[in-house]
Amino acid sequence: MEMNIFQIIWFVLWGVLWAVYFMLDGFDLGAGSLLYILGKDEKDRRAIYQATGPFWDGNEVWLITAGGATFAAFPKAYAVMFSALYSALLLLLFSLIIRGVAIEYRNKHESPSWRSIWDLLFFLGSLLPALLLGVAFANIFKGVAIDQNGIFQETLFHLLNPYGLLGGLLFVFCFATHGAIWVAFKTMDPLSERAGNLAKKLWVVTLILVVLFWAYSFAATRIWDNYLKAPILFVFPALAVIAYLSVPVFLNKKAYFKAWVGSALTIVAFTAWGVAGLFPNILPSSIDPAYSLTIMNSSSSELTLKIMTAVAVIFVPIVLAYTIWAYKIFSHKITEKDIAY
Amino acid sequence: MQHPVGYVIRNGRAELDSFAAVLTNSFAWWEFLHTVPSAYVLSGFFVLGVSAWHILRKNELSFFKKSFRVAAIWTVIFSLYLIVEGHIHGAEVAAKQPTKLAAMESHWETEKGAGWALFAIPDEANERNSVEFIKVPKVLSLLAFHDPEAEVKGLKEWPKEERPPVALIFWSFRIMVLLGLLLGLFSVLAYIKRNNPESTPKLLKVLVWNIPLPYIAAQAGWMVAEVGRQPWIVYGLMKTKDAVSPLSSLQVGLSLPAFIIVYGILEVICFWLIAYHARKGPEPAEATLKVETKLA
Repeated sequence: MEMNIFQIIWFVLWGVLWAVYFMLDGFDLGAGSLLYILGKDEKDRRAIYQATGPFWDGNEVWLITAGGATFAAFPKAYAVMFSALYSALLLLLFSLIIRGVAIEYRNKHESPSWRSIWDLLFFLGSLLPALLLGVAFANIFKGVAIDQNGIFQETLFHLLNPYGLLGGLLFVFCFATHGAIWVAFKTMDPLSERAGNLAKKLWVVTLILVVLFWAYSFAATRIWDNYLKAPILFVFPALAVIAYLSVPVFLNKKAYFKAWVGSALTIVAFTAWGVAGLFPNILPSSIDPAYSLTIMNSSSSELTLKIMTAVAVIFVPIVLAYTIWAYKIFSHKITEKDIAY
Repeated sequence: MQHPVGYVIRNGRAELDSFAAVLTNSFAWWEFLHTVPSAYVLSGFFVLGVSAWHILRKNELSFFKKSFRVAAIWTVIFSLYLIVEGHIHGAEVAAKQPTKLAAMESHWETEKGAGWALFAIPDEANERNSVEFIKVPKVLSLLAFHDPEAEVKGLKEWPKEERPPVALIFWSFRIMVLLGLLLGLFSVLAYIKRNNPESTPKLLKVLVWNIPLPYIAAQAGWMVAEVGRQPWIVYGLMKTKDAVSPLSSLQVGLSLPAFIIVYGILEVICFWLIAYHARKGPEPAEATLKVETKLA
C-alpha cells in the first residue's frame, strides 16, 4: 500500500498531540503523585492543588484530542489499540475520573475526613495514570500480540512485562520531577524550596531510568532501527539529553520556570524519539511485523484526512492562543489567599 | 449513527463522500435542537426549584426572587419551544426511522389514516396491543405525516429481528411526552407568577418536588432515541451485534459493574453535595469577592 502525504502529516500530528499531552498533564499528574511527600500540612496541600487546579482539565483535553485524532485519522489502529489495551485504558479512565472529581470536590465541604478521602483519591488518581501511560506506551514501542485480524492474543498481565513496567516507572518519575519543578515555580518558600530540592533527587532517578529504558529498548524492541537507517533522527534523543542536562543547572539557580521549560522540552523530545522510532507503525505486532498496524493500512480515506488537516490548520492556533492566555492569567505565585481548591 | 449520510461503501467500510452532507444532516440537527434545549429546561427547573425552596423559607428573599424571575423567563421559552420542536422531530423520525416510530406508538398494522390511542398496553409476544382505549381515528397519520390519510407502517412490516423492543420504547416515549407537556404547564405558571412567587406557596412546593422530573424526561427521551434505533448501531447499515469488539466476557463482565459502581457512588455524593450547597444558599458577599479577585 502506498503512503500519502496526509498520512504522514497525521502521524506527525499524532505524535505532537501525545508530546504536548505528556508535557502538560505530566506536571499536574506529577504534582499530584507528590501530594503526601511535599504536602506536609493542609496549607501546603492546598497550595499544590492551587498550583495545578486551573490547568489540569485543559491539559487533559490534549489526551482526548490525542485519542480523538487516533480515532479519526487511524480508525483501525484505534479500534485494535483500545481493544488490546482495554483493561489498562479502563483503569486509566477510572483514575482520571476519580482524580478530576477529587480536585473539584475536596474544598466543597469543611470536614477534615472529607478532605483526606479526596486527597487519597487525588494521589492515586495522579500516580496510576502516569504508571499506566508508561506501561501502555512501552508496550506499543515493543509491539503487542495482535494477529492478522487485529485481535489481541494476550491479557493485561502480559502487558505488565519487565519492559512495560520499566516504562511505567520511567513515566512516574519523569512526571514527578516535572511536577516538583512546577510546584517549586508556582509556590512560595518553604514549599518552593522543598519542591526544588526534591526535583534534584528525582532528576537523578529519572536519568538512571531513561538510560536503562534506552538500553532495554535497543535490546528488546525495533525502536532504534529507524535511527540506524536515518541517523538525522538522532537529533531527537540528542535534544532530549541537552534539555535534560539544563534542568539541574537552572534548579541550582532557582530559575524554576527555565528548569520547567527544560523538563518540558525533554518530555517533548523524548516522545519524538519514541514516535520517530515507531514510524510508519502506529501499533506494531509482536507476533509478526506483517500484522502491524501502520499509517498505510489503518488510516481513514484521503478525503477525511484532508478535511481534518484543514480543520486543524484553523483551530490548532486558536487552541494554542487561548491555552497560552490561560497560563498567563494564572501565572502568579500561589499565596495563602488562594482558596479555590 | 441514527441517520448516516455523506458516505460510500468502499474498501469494505463506509468512507466519507460528502462532508457537506454530514454537516447538513437534518436528523442530526433536529436531534441537536432537541437535546441541548432540553438541558436548558432541566437547568431552568433546577434553579426554579432551589429558588422556590428558599422563598418558601423566606431565606434571602430578594436574591431568590431575582433568580426565580430569571429562571421562569428562561424556562418558559425553552419548555414551550421543546413541545413544538419535539413534534417536528417526531415527524422527522417518522420519515427517517419508521421502525422507531412504530415502536414509539406500538403500532402493529400498516394502515392509511392510522388512529392514535390515548392509552394502550403493548403485547409483543402476540404482536398486538392487549389493551387500547380512546383510539382517535387518523390522529397518528396526522401527527407523524401532517396528513390524516397518510400511510403509517406498522411493526409487522419488518421481521421480528429487525424491530426494537417495543414496550420499553413505547413507555419511555409516553413518559417523555407526558412530562414535557406537564413541564410546559409548570413553566407557564411559573412565568405568570414570576414577579410575586411568594404569593403561591402551592406552586412553589410543586416546583421543589418537580426538580427530578426533567431528569426523568431526558433519560426517557434518551432511551427512545438509542433503544429505538436497535437492532441497528448504524441505522439500516450495521447491526449492534456485528459491531462488538473482540473482548473476553470477563473483561466486559468486570468493566460494566465497575462503571455502575463508580458512577453510582459519584451520583450519590454529587446529589448530596448539590443538596448541601443548594440548602446553604448564596455565599456571603465577602467570600464571593475573594473568589473573584482570585479569578481576576
